[in-house]
Amino acid sequence: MATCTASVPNKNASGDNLYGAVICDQVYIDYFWDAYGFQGNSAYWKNGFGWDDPCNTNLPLARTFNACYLLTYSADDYLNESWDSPILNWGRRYVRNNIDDLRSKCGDGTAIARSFPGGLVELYLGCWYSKDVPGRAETLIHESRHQGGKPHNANFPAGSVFGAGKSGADSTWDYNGAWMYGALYLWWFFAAGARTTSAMRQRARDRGNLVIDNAFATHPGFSI
Amino acid sequence: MGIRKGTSDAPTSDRGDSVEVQTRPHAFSFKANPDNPLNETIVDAVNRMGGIGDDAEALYQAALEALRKQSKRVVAIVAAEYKELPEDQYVDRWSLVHLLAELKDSSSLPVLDEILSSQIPPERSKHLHSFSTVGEEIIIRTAAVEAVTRIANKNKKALEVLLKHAQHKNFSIKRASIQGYLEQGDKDAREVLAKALPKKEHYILDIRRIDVREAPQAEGGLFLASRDRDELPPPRLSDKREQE
Repeated sequence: MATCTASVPNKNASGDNLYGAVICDQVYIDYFWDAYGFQGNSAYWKNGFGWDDPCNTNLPLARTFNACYLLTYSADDYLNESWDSPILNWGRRYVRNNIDDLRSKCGDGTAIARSFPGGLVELYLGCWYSKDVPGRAETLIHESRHQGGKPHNANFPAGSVFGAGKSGADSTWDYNGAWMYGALYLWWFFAAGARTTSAMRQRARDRGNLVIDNAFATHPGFSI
Repeated sequence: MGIRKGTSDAPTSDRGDSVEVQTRPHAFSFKANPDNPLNETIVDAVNRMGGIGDDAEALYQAALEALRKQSKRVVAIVAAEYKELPEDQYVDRWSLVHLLAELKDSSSLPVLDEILSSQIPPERSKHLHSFSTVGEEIIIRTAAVEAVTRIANKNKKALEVLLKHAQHKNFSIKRASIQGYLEQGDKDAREVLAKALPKKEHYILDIRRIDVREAPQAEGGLFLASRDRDELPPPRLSDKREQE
């Protein structure tokens, strides 16, 4: 068992502060807890992670709920989660269907999240305090894609910020891997995200372009 | 308000880590002029960037409007504050650069050029796959390219900044600068870039910004570990309750 610390500003652009007033409703708390893999994992969300204070958006649990909210309600027609619709609509369904156990941990400072066989995804400190809300949603989509059975299949291209020449990239956009799912989600959020600001959508665009430019062995040839 | 104590969650042995979170009022220090009333307005605008709900954009735009009236003074404060922020406050650094993009004031060109010309600090992360600090630095710099592009609409100097950074050694910054120059430059823009870039980089001229609807899509419903059905609450419970 590890102990860790974090320092967070009450007001900044991460998107967390203003979500608090919205997610702080028992109906949402119950829904997110049951739908997104928290259930059965309460022990991992105690000891300062937010179990006793699920509305406090300075803590990891509410910050994860914020990402769940974004996943759930960012399509204008959020009631439509048909697989025939854009990933902005069904992204949340994909996460629900692929993550059975969502746990919080300090981590060792090297990763933001990790996926383990059997539907287990662990989130670490950097996920809540280095990433904004859209970035966290992208992480959940990315890890869900791994849970769905799609590993990475290529090395990162020359100059990639994710580790040039190292494994962990997707060969192409058409491989339909975790990087493509994450970037596509951010792209849709930029283009059509509802109940958010143009600034958050721009931030999603910047992050999506980083993925497109750096995470595919062969550049897709387009950008956001 | 709390988590329901479902049977599947209790009793459990304590298996988790523990975390202690300290809070600060906001991300900035405003050391140069802590009593400037504009500081609070800047904090408000940055905070509103992360808004949520049907009125989020309107509230954000209202906060920006208050700054646009004094944009030159705001640019000076933001430029000074950017330099004071610790390297690892990536979101906060990005938010100040994005604020400059929103203001579209040409007085921000020197600081934007400085940000783009500054050396990218070495990678701090040990697990690049999930988080790259160089990646965060690049996100900040591509936001700076966007800010310059917005100014370049009617500003030759901004176009020169874009042309300069079209030759940046980082691919994303180069790609974004090229796209900005092509977007805002005149009909000779492509030719100018082709002359400035080595031949092996001419393919970047053809990387186009496209609408997401034109991109190859992920096919939904594939690669699922399980399927579920949950009853979804509406996005604003208060709205529903008011209607009832």
